This record gives sequence, structure tokens and C-alpha cells, in this order.
Amino acid sequence: MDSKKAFEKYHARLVKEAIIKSLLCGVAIGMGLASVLALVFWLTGFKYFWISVLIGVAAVGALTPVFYFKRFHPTNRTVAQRIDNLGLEERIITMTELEGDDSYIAQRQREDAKAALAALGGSGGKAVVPMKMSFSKSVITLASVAAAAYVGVTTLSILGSAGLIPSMDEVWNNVVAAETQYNTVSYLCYGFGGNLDMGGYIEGDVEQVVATGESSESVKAVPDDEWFFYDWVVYVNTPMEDVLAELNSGVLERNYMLEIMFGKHEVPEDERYEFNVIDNLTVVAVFMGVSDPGEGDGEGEPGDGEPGDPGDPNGEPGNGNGNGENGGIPAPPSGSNNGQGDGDSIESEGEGAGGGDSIQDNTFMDGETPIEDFLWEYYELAMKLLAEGKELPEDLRRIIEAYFGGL
Amino acid sequence: MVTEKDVTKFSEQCKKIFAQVERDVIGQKEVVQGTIIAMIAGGNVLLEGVPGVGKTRLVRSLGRVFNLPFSRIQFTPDLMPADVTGTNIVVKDAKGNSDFQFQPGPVFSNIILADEINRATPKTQSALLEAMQEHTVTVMGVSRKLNEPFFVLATQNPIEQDGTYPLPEAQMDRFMFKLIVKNPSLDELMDIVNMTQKTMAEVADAACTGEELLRMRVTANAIPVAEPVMRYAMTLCSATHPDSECASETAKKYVRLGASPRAGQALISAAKVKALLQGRFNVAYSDVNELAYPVLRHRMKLNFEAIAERVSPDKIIEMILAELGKKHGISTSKIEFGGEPADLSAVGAEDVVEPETETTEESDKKSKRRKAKK
Repeated sequence: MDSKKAFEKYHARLVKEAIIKSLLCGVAIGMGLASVLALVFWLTGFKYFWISVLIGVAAVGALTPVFYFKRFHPTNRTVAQRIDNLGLEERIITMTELEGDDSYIAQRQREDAKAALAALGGSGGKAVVPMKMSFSKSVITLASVAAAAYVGVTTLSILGSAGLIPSMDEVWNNVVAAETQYNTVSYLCYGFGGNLDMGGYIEGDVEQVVATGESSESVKAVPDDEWFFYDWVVYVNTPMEDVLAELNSGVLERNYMLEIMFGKHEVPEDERYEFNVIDNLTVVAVFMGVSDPGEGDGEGEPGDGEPGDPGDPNGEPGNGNGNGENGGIPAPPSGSNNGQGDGDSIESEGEGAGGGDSIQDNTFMDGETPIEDFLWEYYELAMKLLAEGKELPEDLRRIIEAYFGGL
Repeated sequence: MVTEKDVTKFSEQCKKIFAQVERDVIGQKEVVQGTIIAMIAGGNVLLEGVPGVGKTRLVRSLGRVFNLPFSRIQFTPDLMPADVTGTNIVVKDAKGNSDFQFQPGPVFSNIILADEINRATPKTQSALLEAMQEHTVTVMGVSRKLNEPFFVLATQNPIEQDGTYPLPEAQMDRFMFKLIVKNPSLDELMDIVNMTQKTMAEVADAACTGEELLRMRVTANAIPVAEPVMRYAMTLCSATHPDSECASETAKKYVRLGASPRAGQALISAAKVKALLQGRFNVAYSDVNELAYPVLRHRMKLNFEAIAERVSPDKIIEMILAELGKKHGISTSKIEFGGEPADLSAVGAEDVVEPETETTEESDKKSKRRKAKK
């Protein structure tokens, strides 16, 4: 291959390389600029994202020729140096410098260089160019990152302007709001027996606004006379009307009934309450009325007669003196609260004095209403349901099972 | 003006010189080539090696090959400067009048073998300074020009330290090359013993004259050096200085005093000769890299850290070359120099050594594949 032709081939190759390098640099800067603009547009909710596209393309178009002519444009000298790197031992750069020198040494050097170049180019007149293009990894990486960022941010911008995704300021506001979310903590008093705002009061702030994760202000449940604090009940994210409805429905008492009967419930030693808030809460301080313990010994066999009428729910607290052995468990309904049961028990038919001690201190739910009255109500409800061939509700079944289990 | 005849003659004479030296000196190709390069380039050479490795024989052989007057000065502690340069003595003429007459010393020769140069006192060593650099000798205020070509080929033993005087920097700097004469290999040793069993006499014949040698120098001096190569060579010299703007990290760490501008001159002069010896009409980075070791190793003054860590000057040069190579994108793998001189008589593509690079092979393969496809 003719040395001049070979040199031109290398020059053409370097021109291509220079164009690609210039383009990469142009893309790196132009796309980077467009990405920044697109990001700003997305952040600010600016809808005209296409302006960033236009600016990006214009920047690439303007910077590529600048890089080519100012930085990467191959000269004879740079081409010569690149060819020499192929193992020509600086023959070509020397030849380039000796251009126009007609001394014998210069001529010999030229011939030597041309021969070496021709030998490098391959034989048979083929214009083989073994030189590989050389690109800086950092430029390629930068251009790739800029292009990827541009595509990504522009896509976000387009989706944001189309309303398919929230704009950055919306997202940011949500994040800020989420970060400073506040919860309401409301405290209620509930007297056992279905009475709101009875049995005691809350000492402390009963309506607290607490940031998520923060600790609530400590409050104290202070019982009135003849009452004592029984427990805290916490409703999470439950509307106040639902809380009130549940308290009024008596479900709370039913749940506590089981605990009362089997002594499973432990009254908290400290009426103070403080906790980490993560949601809206309604905290109910449950109070229970204090009653004198029954005096009977609970003796007596169960009777075999018909169940007596339920006693007066509003009767005086009982002072039963029965001597049955099942003291501590409320006696079957006996028509009064004096423990002198003369009807059949719920299960057995024998007669017996159904007196005996009621649950110590817990016999009366609100200081007045005996627990048996509630049980009796459930009993009637159960009988009615059974008579109609319906299934008993789960909570009712549990109460009855627990009752007879206790017996 | 260099002509085709000069170039052809350079090539022929180089071949003859190498062939004749090889008759007397077995092996030591690196040292032989280094010494011949220095002599063609007009530099002095310091040969360092243990006794018996052929230093003196090489110098004597070169004296014979170049067919030049040869003087040997055995340096000893009691050697005086006048013993080297010569002195004025009182002579009587035919009329009986006394007059001072200059009696030239052994330095008035073309090739001086300064054997065991470090055994003489610094005062005597310094007697050679003027001769080595200016090629003149001044005695009693009268300067006398030495015959050209003039070379000082000195030897020294690196092991014996008692009763020796290390050469001062000024003296060291006047040697173009410091060549390390290594012990011969086993095969070389066998050849040496076989040869010397027959005769101890030096058998090399004259291969060129002093004038021819000077013409060879002019021819080599005409070899062009591209600006990037020149810049690289000067950067290399400058990089040996810990305080220069081009100071390498290695020099900053290990070097107290770097190479002088003479090193740059020596590097380029020698690189030109080396390039022409290899059949190239231009100086390459590889020439500079190869010659960096003999040119720079004796010109750098190492600091305490280098001595404490036992870092040799060659190692430091290797590290500096590696640093520069990385910076300039130049391969700096150490190339042993030696080998036969190239034939420069024929002109054309056949003379050019094709670069053995992968890219060439790949291109050939690709062209073959293309042909096969067609």
C-alpha cells in the first residue's frame, strides 16, 4: 500500500474517532445540561418540558463542532504520533518534522518511514488500518451517564406534565407531611356498667396532639369515691362515635366479665399512662364501682326448681349469707340479691340456696348494678335464640360456657 | 554534509569494529556496544566491575581496533598530576643553554586507559578534568590541545574501598557512560578459558582510523531527533532532580542531586549513534530509555533514604522511566542493549524492520480473511 494512501487512511480513521469523541463530549455536556433543566422543570412543576429537550439538542449540536475543531481535530502531527504508537519507533513523527528537508539523512529517514508505514498497512495494496480507535473511558462513562440521566429525568418530566405521576413538589410536600405527621390522643372515662364520664376523671391533658413516634404526655386516671381504676382500653384509629357505640353496647363489660370471673385481670398498679404514639388513639380509663363483699358462705345445693325471676337490677347490693361451696361465683338468679335462691339452677334441678359470696369487690359493676343481672339478660337472650333455632353469638356462648365451666 | 557514502561506511565500519572486538572480548555485548557508542559519540566511559572480567582487555582491544595511540595509566595513591599531564623539564641545547621543555605525559594520546582511577588522590584525578571535557591540558599556564579523537576509558573496582578515593561529581559527570561489567556467563567463561589457553595475546586488527571515527561521529550527529523525543529526553534528565518542575516522585524520595545538562547532551548524542547502529534514521523513545541507565546511573547523588533502603541507581532510573512512561504513554520495559549493527547500505522497504506488533498480524489475518471471503 502506498505510504501516502496509508497515511490518509489513518488520518480518515482519526477524523472519525475525533468526530465520535467530540460527539461524546457534546452529549456529555449537552445532555447533562438538559437533564439539569428537565430536573428543575419537574421540581418546579413547569409543564414545558420540551424546552429542555430543545436546549439539550441545541447544546449537543453546538458543542460537538467546538470540541472537534478546538480539541480533537487530528493534525498531521497527531496522526503521526498515533501511527508511531503502533511500533514505528517515532519514524512518522520525525518524517513529519523533516518535511521540506532535502538532506540525504532526511531523505533516507523519509524512505525508511514510508517503508515502515507501508509494511504496517499490509501487503497487496489493501488499505488495511490496524489502528484501533481510542476513547477515554471517563468520556464514555460521562456521556452515558448524562444520556441516561437525560432520558430518565425527561421521562419523569413528561409523565409529571401529563399528570401521570406527581410532580416533585407534590412528592416533596407529601414527604414533609409524612415526616411531621401528628396524631390525636383522646382520653375518656368510663364507669363499668355503661356510663361515660363516670367513676373518675383524667388528671392531665385529655386531648393531646402528638407527632408520630413521640411520647404522649403522661396522664393519670383518678377514681371518684366508691370507685377504683380498673384498666386502660386503647382504640386505634377508631372514630369517636364508634368508640362510644361500643362502650354503650356493653361489649366492654362482657369482655371484662370473663376476666372478672376467672380472676385473670390484674388491675394496673399505676394509673399513670404514657406511651409512644404512632396513630390516632382513643384511650378509655375504665373505672369499677366498689361494693361490700357478700357475707354468705355460699353453701347450699343447687335447687331443682324452675329458675326464679331475675332480681331487681336496681336492687340494693346483696349481703348474701348462703353457705354454698361455690362461693366467689355469682349464684344463679334467685329473684333477689339476698342469696336465698329457691329456684332451679340453670343446669341442675335440685333446690338449693343460691346465696353465697358474690365476686369480692366486683359484684357490682357500677356500684349498683349486680353482675348477675347482666348474666340473666344474656341467659334470656340465649334461651330465646335457642327456641328460635338460631345459633348463639360467639361472645354469648363464651360467657355461658365460662359460667358453666366455672360451676 | 552527510552523504550516502558516509552512511554506508558507517554501517560497514561498525560491523568491522564489532567483529574485531569480538575476537578479543567474549560476551559483554552490552558493555562493548556501550563503549563503542560512547566512542563514536565522543564520550568518555567509566567501566566498573570486579577484577578479572575483561575491563582492561576491552579497552586495549578498542585501542587496537581504532588504530589509535593508546596510553595506559595505572592509578595509584602516589600518582601525581604531573605524571598524568606531563611537566616542564630543564634541557640544555647544543650551545649549553638551559631551557624549560614540556615533556608530555601519558594523557597526550588518543585513547587513555585510566586503570583503577579511584585509587589515585582527588588531586591527581582532577588532572584529567580539563582533558576529558575540553580536550586540552594546561601546564605552567600553557594550554596544549590533545589529539582528536580523544577518549578516557577508566576502570574502577566497586568492591575494594580501602585506599580508594571516590570520584568527585565533577569527574563523574565527565563520563558519558558508566557501564557495569558483569561476570561472564558459564558459556562465555568456557569460551574465555578456551581462547586464552591458546594465546593471551590480543588478536584484534585495526578496523578504522581516527579520521574515520570522527567522520562516523559527524554522520551519527546528523540523525534527526523529533521534538517530542527531544522533549522526553530532557524531561527524563530533569525528572532526576528532586527540585525541578518535572521532578518525579521517585527523585523526590531518593535523589539528593540529579543529572546535569551534560546528561541531556550525552543522552541525545548517544541515542543518535544507537539509532543509526540499529538502521534507523531517527531517534526513538526506546533509544532514550535504553541509554538512560548508562547515562544517568553515575550522575545521580542518592540521599540517605535510598542508601538506607538499598535502592540502586538503576532501580531509581527504572522507577523514573515508569513514571514518565505512564505520563507520556510510552512503553518503558527495560531493553538490554547489545546486538549487531544493522546494514544501512541498501535503501528501500526491504531494509526496514517490520514492527512486530499484534496489530500488524491482525491486519494480515483480516486481509487474508477478506480474500478468503471473496
